[in-house]
Amino acid sequence: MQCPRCKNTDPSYFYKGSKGWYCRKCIVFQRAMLEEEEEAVSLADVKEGSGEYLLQYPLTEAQKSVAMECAEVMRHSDVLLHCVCGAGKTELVTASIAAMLKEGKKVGFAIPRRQVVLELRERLAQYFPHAHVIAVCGGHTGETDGDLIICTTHQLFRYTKAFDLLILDEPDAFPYRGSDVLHGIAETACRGHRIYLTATPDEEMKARVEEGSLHVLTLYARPHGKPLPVPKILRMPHVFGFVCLLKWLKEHAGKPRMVFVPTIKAARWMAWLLSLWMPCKCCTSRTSDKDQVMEEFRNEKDGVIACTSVLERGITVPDAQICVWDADSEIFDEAALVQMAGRAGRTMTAPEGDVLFLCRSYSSLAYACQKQLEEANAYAVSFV
Amino acid sequence: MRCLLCDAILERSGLYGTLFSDDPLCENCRKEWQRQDIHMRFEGVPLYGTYVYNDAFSKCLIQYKECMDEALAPVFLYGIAGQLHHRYHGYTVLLMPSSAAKIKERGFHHLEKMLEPMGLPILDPFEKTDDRSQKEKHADERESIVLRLKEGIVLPKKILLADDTITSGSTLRAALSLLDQRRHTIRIYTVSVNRSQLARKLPFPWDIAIINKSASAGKKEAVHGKFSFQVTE
Repeated sequence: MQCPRCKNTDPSYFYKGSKGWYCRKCIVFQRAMLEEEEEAVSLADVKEGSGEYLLQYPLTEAQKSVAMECAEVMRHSDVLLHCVCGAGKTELVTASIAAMLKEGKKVGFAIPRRQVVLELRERLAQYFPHAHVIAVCGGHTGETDGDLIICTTHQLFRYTKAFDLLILDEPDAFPYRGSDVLHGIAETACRGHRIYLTATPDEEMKARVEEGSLHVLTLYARPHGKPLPVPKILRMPHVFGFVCLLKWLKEHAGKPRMVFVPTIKAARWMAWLLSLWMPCKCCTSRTSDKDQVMEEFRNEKDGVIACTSVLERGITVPDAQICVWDADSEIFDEAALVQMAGRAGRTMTAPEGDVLFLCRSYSSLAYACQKQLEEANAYAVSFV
Repeated sequence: MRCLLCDAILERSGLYGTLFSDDPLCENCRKEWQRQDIHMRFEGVPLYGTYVYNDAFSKCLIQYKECMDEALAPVFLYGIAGQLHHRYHGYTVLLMPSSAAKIKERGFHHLEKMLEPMGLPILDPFEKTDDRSQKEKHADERESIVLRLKEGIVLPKKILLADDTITSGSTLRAALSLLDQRRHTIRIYTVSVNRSQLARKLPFPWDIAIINKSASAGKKEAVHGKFSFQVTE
């Protein structure tokens, strides 16, 4: 037996009710009966002319060649776009999206995090001025049908067999990563091929690449051509680390500075401690008005924010400086560290940034992250 | 075995847990439910409730009713069913009405499944005059629920009106208005009681001092005597 929606085959999750067997693994998305084949949802046809797009700035040569190759390969196989943070992954797939929309085919864009969905909708609505671009996520579920649908991975359950092309942004991020239910739902939502966009592919994806079922395209350089900021690692006890942090914050006064910490509790502590010296915001998954806090942080242009890994992905703050407190914590894995370091130097106007890792003990992950970024920089140079 | 709500593998602690407990929920999920014996009167009829309607309970109830997760049915009365059987010995359970379309979609009557472990005879005698869900209506419309008795149903002498939760109490009020209190002995049982209903519960005498205190703090008016009530204009 297999659940038609989440592809679960573990019999301990199946339950026989009065209407027959159903799957309890994906029960939060309403009951899925095992015997009934999931029916494809009927969505409106794509409007004509919605495939026209205009980017805000032209792609570089390297980006162009990857974008073209992607638009070609995605027709007959799944694609993994392995690009460094800030390489403009969204811009790379616009060509593919446009090609599909021109043929009147449905395209979905799924992201694990809710905040990123809203941000991305704005951007894609600018790129595709003639298309009706909608965002579907918690709190924005009034309208569920448009030409280009951007949603959280949880909302994919609404679109059974709806998409000819499904783009999965950051598939190695929580909660999509490690969730069998969301993997299954993403599989049922797509009738064509998928494109994965990530800077840090996980083991599962690497295995699929080796196997040959996933075509990998890589891009190591950011569009502005400057190397990625490589983290400095400082090892010392917390007390001295904090002094270093204060000194570092003072050095970069006048720029937005983000201090990543491992836990929510630590974020509150850090915000409180830093607020003795300077105004400091706090943003964690428990913060109720995250959107507003981020908006204020962006507008301020010289603020300090203590945050957990909620802000680790998909956030662009111009000229942000990054510090990771307790980088040796078990909570951060290599992907998380790479992503956090990738928040720096993302825009054309401020291509450089400073990244600082503060740890108490030797951390192989922090050094691995440093090495990975250095390698990416070396590759980028050798290509140019 | 896995916990029905959080999928964690069930582990029992303590002597009772390892030997006897067969709770389908894990200890953490069960702890979040606020068990409280609630005795109060609703429109003069004795009402008994077993849980406070909090977030965890409401989440579980939504999964059971809206996501149609039939497996959760035994969770609600676990450990209470036997007690209830004795408390209401000789009574017949009358279920509160649910829309026919919803029952057909679910394939089971959610209240019937939930209350089955009580081991009492169950009747479903009411039906709604308009078949809309509570959520589709305005607050003032919700108050005016009109029920009617199905045809050809003979009501027994001792009646237990049962529902999963009591929020505004308008459904129960409508059901009570159909019953003759002189002819039947009526009791009400709701699995959970909403906080707004709990607040209406009459306080014990020793609570009055506290109420007076908090009221005077808010209004900044002197209160004469410990047990005196405030006179409002």
